[in-house]
Amino acid sequence: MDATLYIQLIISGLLIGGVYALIAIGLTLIFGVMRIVNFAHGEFVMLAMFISYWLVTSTGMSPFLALPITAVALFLFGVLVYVLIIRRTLSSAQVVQIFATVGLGLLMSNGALIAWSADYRMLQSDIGNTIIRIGKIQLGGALLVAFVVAIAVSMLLFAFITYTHTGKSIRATVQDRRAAQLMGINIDRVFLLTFALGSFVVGIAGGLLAPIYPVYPTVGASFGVISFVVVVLGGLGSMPGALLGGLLIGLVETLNDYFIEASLKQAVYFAVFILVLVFRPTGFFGQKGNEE
Amino acid sequence: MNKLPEIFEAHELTRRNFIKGAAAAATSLSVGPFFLRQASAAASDEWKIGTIFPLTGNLAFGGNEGMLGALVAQEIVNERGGIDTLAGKKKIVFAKADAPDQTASVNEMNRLLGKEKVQITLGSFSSAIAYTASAVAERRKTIFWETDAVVIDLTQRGFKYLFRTNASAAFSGGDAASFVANYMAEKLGKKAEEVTVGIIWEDGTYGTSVHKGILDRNTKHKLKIVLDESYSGKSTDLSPVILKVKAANPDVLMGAASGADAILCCKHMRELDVNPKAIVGTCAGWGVPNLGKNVGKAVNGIFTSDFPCEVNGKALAPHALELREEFIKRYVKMTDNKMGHGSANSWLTFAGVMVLFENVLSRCKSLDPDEVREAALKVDIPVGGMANANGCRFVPHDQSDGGQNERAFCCVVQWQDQAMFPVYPENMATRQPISIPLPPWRERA
Repeated sequence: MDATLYIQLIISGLLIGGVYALIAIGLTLIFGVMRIVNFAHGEFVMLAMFISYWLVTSTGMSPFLALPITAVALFLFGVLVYVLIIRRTLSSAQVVQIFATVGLGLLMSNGALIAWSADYRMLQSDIGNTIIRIGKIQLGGALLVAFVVAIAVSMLLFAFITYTHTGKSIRATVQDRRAAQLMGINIDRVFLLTFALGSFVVGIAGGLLAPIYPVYPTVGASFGVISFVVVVLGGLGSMPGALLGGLLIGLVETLNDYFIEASLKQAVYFAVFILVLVFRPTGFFGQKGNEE
Repeated sequence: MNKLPEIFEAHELTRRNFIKGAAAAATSLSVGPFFLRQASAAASDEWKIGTIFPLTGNLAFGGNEGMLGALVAQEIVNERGGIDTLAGKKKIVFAKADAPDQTASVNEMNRLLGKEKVQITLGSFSSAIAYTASAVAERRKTIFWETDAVVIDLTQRGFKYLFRTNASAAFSGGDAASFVANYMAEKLGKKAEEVTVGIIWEDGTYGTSVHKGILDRNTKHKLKIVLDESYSGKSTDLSPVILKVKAANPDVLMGAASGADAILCCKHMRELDVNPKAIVGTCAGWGVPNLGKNVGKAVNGIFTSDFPCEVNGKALAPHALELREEFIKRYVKMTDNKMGHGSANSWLTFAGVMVLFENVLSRCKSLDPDEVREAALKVDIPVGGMANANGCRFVPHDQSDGGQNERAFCCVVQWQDQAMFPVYPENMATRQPISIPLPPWRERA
């Protein structure tokens, strides 16, 4: 087989994997700090895609110019969701948190269905139609930009968590909530910031996806499942893990689709997922105890 | 003596109270039935029919379109004062059910048949939902009137109360293969058995049925299949599938897509510079009106083997032509002119429901399933008699494919000016086929 084809497959897999990673990073950040699994995560992606779509189609702006606006909108939406729903469930049983976020997800997807109908909408943009040719390799311009931005955002977020005072507060909260509180850290504010920051990252991911993938009210379901797999694979709460997990899932999907059978995509990556969990229950970079 | 509680005091039996009560009872007994008869007469001016469509969830687009088709049919007959049945004029009311998936379809069917007490249910757009919903209807010996689902073996389960007015995937897939063999091959300067074909199909009930339809018909045409690849319709990336198409390099790419996957196929083909000489899709994803907007100008030239919608008026009987105009007018109004003249789903449901209203229920005294069933089996509409140019006659239930409309068929439409127009067969065509062979994506965009 032509070597170009292998390279094309690997690059395509890594590029889509980068976007999966960015979606998953928001989820893992929230879980790592708050120990809450946001089951409405996919619907957050959907909302971001719709915001981006409407911004671009109604104003004619570039999808990448719409990106920061979408991200800020999702940040504010994250604040709202935290104040109205998440904060009230923090001290409740886990099942309450699960039902609250599942319910929120259903509300969002069905609200979108009522507001925007079930139509598929594909953002038409110059970047979305740009094709980059490197020798015999062809890549979608929007996907390449999405990959670069996804990696850059992941790095920046990692640097923020590692080096800033707020980031240190977040990490302290992850390690021991009570001790962090005794050191004067306002846990509630850390939680609020974390949830909003996770939503902000999802906003970027949704904005990047809008020129690549059709947007419709139930689009979140596909990305939601993938991000859960990526997060568990990478290690619950681990950002480098989510990055590695995303790239791996993208690669496995692409290679499976070509060499095995496209309709077995989920079966294959769930097989990889199970194997990793059997031999390394914490995922790639997860801390022991997080999986409990 | 202790005072009685107030409730007893108020109803203390005195002679006066007894006379009052007796008078009231006598009046109730004599006048009550009159009011009951009136209420019953008012209720019997209406016949209630169940509708089941996926109005939310992944299948909501087609489900809502189907529901719109049924609503247009309801509006038309109710504006006429109702259906002129053997029991007088009957207006139609719908008991609606939303079934986003198979589990919900079973629950909702039980609700419709139990609580709402409907004896006819129409729907359902989705093959998966039709499969389970019709099984519940059959178990309860009530009519299931399918107008849009294509799964081939829906009518091959020996059911007695199931009717399907639309063509199955054997036609949408099979007619696509026939179009390639009988028309496209000549245009490409080849014999049918020399034309290389790639098939990519989503692996749900819909795609699997269409795929079977293509393969079954191809036993006759013997097109050379060089790629036969399934994929998940929920896939977020189809570039590997399109790379397989590139490697196989077929003359004609045939596709069965359920929704967003058709958009993704086009996007990846354009990115990866995959240029078959023709693309022939099969309804659903390849035939939704928004595909033109979502893919842009590059959609022009793509063929779709689809259910007939707005075909050449010459292919229609006068009443069918009237229905067609009524449908377009009302659909455009209901959708604020946002969806053109309707998708195949709304057309099919409208045409099929009008058969139920005008040709079946008009011959019934009641909604008794056995009576409705007998009337349905007597329907005999020649080709061109339905609003979408199909005819209607149901295969008797004691035969294979019982309940299937044997006069339903598909036609081939082509995307031109980012809208779909019937182009084949000739008598249904409103435009001539163009772009054979199909220019590369970069020239079409």
